[in-house]
Formats: sequence, C-alpha cells, structure tokens
Amino acid sequence: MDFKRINIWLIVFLLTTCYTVTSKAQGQTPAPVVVPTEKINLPATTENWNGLYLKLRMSDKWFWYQENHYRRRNSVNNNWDFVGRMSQLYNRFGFTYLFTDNFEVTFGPTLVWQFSPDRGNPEFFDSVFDSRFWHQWLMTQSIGPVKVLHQFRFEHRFQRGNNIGSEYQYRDRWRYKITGYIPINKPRMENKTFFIAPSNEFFFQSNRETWNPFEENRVYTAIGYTYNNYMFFGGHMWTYGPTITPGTYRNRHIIRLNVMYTIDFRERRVPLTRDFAF
Amino acid sequence: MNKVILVFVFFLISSVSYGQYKEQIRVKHGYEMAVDKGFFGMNFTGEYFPINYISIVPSVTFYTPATGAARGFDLNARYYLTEKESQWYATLGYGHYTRVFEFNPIGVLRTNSVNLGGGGVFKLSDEIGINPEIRYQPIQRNDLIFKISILYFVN
Repeated sequence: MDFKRINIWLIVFLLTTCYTVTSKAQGQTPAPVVVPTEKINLPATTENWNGLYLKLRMSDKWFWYQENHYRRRNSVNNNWDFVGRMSQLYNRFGFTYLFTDNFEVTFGPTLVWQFSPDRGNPEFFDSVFDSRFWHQWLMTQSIGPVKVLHQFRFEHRFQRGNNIGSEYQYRDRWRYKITGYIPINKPRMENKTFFIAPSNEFFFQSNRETWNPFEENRVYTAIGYTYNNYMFFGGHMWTYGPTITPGTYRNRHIIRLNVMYTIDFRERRVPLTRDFAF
Repeated sequence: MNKVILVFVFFLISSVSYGQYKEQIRVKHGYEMAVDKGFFGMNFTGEYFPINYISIVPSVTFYTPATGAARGFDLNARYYLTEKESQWYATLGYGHYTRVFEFNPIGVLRTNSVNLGGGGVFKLSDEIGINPEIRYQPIQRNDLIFKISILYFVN
C-alpha cells in the first residue's frame, strides 16, 4: 500500500466520519436548552499526567502497545495546584500491525479508573471503571529533518459518573492529532537526540446527548530526549472545549511527564526442535 | 465432511511445533465470562516455565459489572499434557476475587478460592497463539469461568 493510496482512503474516511458525526448530532432530539446570551469561559483548572509508554515488537509485523497513566488534578479550593486530587488511572493496551514503514493500525482495550471528585463523600463511588475499545491509524512522514505523525484515533466508550447509581452510557469519540518531532542537536530523529514536539489534537463525540459534537482541542508542546530504547518527553498541554452546559467552555493546563520504552523481542525466541517424547 | 476433518487434523498437527521448555515465557491478553454472575472481564496473564512442562501463571482480571466494581487475581500452576498436536493442560491454583458493591451495605466482599480447570494452546504463527480455558472456583466464590486469550511466545 503506497502513501498516496493511504491519503485517498484517509480523505474518504474523514469525509465519512464528519458526515456521520454531523448527521448523528442532527438526528438527535435534544432536550430544550437555554443558550446564554454570551459565551462563558470557566476559570482554568490544572492537572498533572504521568505516563509510561511501552512498545514491544513481537514479530516483523506485530507490536504490543501499552500506556499507563497516573493522572492527578487540582484541589477543590485551588485551581492551580495541579496535583491536589487523584483523577485517573488510565491504561491503554493494543495490538499494532505494521502495514508499511509509514502506516500502522492499532486496536485494543482501554481500562480507566475514574476517581471520585470528593473522595470519602458517600454520595460518590470512589472509583468507577470505564472500559473502552479503541483503534487508530498512525501515519508518519518526513519533511526535511522533521518527523510528522498523523494519528486518527477512535474510541468506543462505556462511561458513567461517580455519583451513586449513575448508569453506564455508550459513547463514541473521534480524534485526530498532528505531531511534529523536530530534532535539535541531530540532523534527524535518532539515538541521543534532543527534540521538541508540538502537537494539536481535535476531539469530536457522538452517541451522546450534547449540544456540540466538538468535544475538545488539545495543544501540547513537549520537549524530549531519546536514549537507546528510551524516550523521555514532557511539557505543557492546554485544552479547550465545551461543557455539557450550552455556551459554557472549560480550559485546562496540564503538565505531562512521560517515558517511552521500546523493545524488540524478535531475537529472543528459541525455536524448539527437540522432541520431549512425552 | 472427510475433507474438513482432514484439514482440521492437518491444522492441529502442523500448527503446533513447539513444546514447553524450561525458562520459556508467554504473555497473554484475554477476556473472561463468569457464569454465575455473568460478569465480563478483561484479563492480563503471564506464564513462566521453571521446569519443562510445568508453568506458573499469575493473572489479573478486571470485570465490568453494571454497578460497583469487581476484580480477580489468580496464581495457578499448569501441567501440560501434550506438546505436539495441541498443547492441552490442566491447571490448579489460587483465586482471589474482590467485589465492591455500590448499594449493598456489605461494601466489599473478598473471596479466596481454589482454581481447577484446563485449557489448550493453539499456535497461529511462530509468535502468536490462542488459549481458551475453563476453570471452576469452588469454595467461596463458587463460579465457573470461561476465558479466551491471545498469547505471545516471548522466547
């Protein structure tokens, strides 16, 4: 599959996705809502996300992909302390199939523990378990020394709130992220490279009674360093998007700290040719 | 019909060419269904062979009940009965199950059970296999659990 062909399919998929999201949103019969006369921006909140990323090569074409995040958020009384309350244990797993050097598909489950906004309050269940199925297309291209990643991610989620008695609801989420990996001390991304990685990601949602299919935009600028099998990266992410209240928007400042580890298992297998003669 | 049986037998014979040898490691991702409660769960399992034929198998499962939460931890031993045509095994071990209730005043229920069961490993390629398993947890939990996993042969 060459890259031009992928691009054509990509455009077809994008058009289909946009149509689906729009038509579903239009097809719903939302409850009467009162739209405020002017846009309301809620005060910014803060969070801290710490992530471990694993990419294990199992064969020439298959990888195991894994993310484990420890996420905290600000205290109730202080929007700027970043780590005042436990927020989420976020775990994403998947099998990646490498179609070409520039195109791979990943699919798998996501397991999220969403913690109570007020731990110890009996009105809330301490941690609810959200499970999701996700899949993504990841395309890479090189523009001079810059490595550009196009990530299309789709999440099919079973979610509930922490309120006692809250019921699970099925929702879909559609995401696109573009990331540029810009090497600083090397001509291209390789071992022992300092880099800067700006990215932007759009989130859309469907299967949800909402006044806006647009869910969120995330602007993330990471700096990082590659060292052998490790990549250390982190930075600041700003998110902006509507809340469930019409005309009301929230924004978050998130400090992210991440480590990625990659390992190739292909040489470790020992073909067994002897007979145990059971 | 005979052709179908021949193809099936050929698949069984040809698809399993590796046995279970000392220091072999396998990892698995699977899905479980408990019969009594009907809970669906996502499972992660490791397997290590300290000696030929016998493995130690720790695993964790996160269930998805409509209310509250449920999870299980199991530590089993497997003894492989066959290694060539298909890798059938019997398993025995310990199962710890935790149910966190949302409405029941019990709050948290923890059970300790014995695992008794068996399963098979079928190779799809040199690296990948599937692993169906059934096990019974008598004593406190008293449930029958079906599991199917995709398996990776690390070495």
